[in-house]
Formats: sequence, C-alpha cells, structure tokens
Amino acid sequence: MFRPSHFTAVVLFALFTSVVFGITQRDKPRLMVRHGAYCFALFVCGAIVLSWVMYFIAR
Amino acid sequence: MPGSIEGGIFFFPHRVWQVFRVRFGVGVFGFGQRRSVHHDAIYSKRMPTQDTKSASQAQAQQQGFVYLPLIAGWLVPGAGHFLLRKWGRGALLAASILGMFVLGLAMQGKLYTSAHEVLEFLGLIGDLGNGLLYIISRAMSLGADSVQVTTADWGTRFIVVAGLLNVIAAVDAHNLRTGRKSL
Repeated sequence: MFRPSHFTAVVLFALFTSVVFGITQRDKPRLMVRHGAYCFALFVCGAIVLSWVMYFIAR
Repeated sequence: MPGSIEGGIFFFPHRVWQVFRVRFGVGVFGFGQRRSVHHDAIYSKRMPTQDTKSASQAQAQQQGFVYLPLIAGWLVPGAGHFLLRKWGRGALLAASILGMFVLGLAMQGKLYTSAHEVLEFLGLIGDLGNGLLYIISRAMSLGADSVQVTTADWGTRFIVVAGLLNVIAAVDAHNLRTGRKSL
C-alpha cells in the first residue's frame, strides 16, 4: 500500500494534473510547458497558502 | 505567393499578359469576370496559397470517422493522440492518467459501483471517465470497498480526477481531429 504524506500527495496531484492541463489547453509545445509549470505552481502554492490559512483559523 | 510568380515573369515573358489579366481582372472575358478562374489556373499549380492549404487540410481532416480519437482516447488514455500521430503528447497524457489511476488504487482508493446517492453518482461518472481502466479494475475487483484510512480518501479522489482528466484529453484529441485545435 502506498502511503504518501499529505504534501507528497499534493505534489503528485499537481504534477499529473498540470501535465494534462498544459497539453490540452495550449497549442504550441513551448506554451504547453509554460502553462503546465504555471498550473503546477498555482496548485502547490495554493495548497500551502490554504494550509496556513486553515492553520490560523483552527487556532 | 504572388512575389514568386512575379519573379518568374523574368524567366517566362509569355506569362506577362496572363499575370496582368489576373492582377487587374482584364481580358477577353471582361473586367474581373473570370478572374478567379485565371487565378486558380496560374497560382494553384505553382504555389498554393495559405487559403488553399488550409482548405485542403480541413477537407482532409473531415474525412473518415471524426469521433474515433474521442472514443479511443476515452477507452485507452492517450490513444486518441496516438491515432493522430501525436506520440509525445499521447505518451505524456497516458503516463499522467495511468499514473494517477494506479496511485489511486495503490492508496486503496474506492471504485464507485453504485449511484444511490448524488455524491456517489458523481463519483461514478468521474470513474467511468477512465474507460477500460475502470472496467478492467472492476472486473479484477481492484480498489477498496470502503474508505478506511486517510490515504484511501485521497486515492478515491485520484481515481475520479484521473477519469475527468482522461475525458479532457479525449476531447482534446477530438478537437485536433476536427481542426478546432491546430495540429
């Protein structure tokens, strides 16, 4: 059984989803890479920011 | 390109009057009356314009069963792009969707089997997006029956999202096939 940490799961989710978004939402390979990297950064950074927000809400 | 045709005038002087008629629409048929005919006769043989290229490309794209990449892409992740000879994109899509689905199963994610509740019904729709992966996994009784641990909950989401991403990839293959998205 695969038991990743929460952050690992977030990174894996962001990686796979960003690859698909990058390929399907843009026409040119260069733009695909840029859009994929942009989505990946948004996923990971968004998860980190929301985690801190929830941390302070819970306190 | 008109420029290349005009350049050819210097080597073929007998075409000067022909090109003049095309350019200014004059000749024995009157002003502009047969302009398109002359234009096609001269330009299409020597150097096809962008319009004729795109028209022939669009005509070629409309031939055959246009929904084949959509169906193939839904059944097997990346197969729609493979059919269109987009090997790199297809391989990346297949690796991503397969990886997500397998990791979801490895995390003991649940495969939705019934639609008694609204949330289960939505989960079932997401799972069905995986195509043959879902059917084979159901046949092999893979996946957990119920969510017991936290990672199993994440795994369930991984499987559902893999199905939704597969649908997006299949629609992208269909758009490539119909020419809605440039190849």
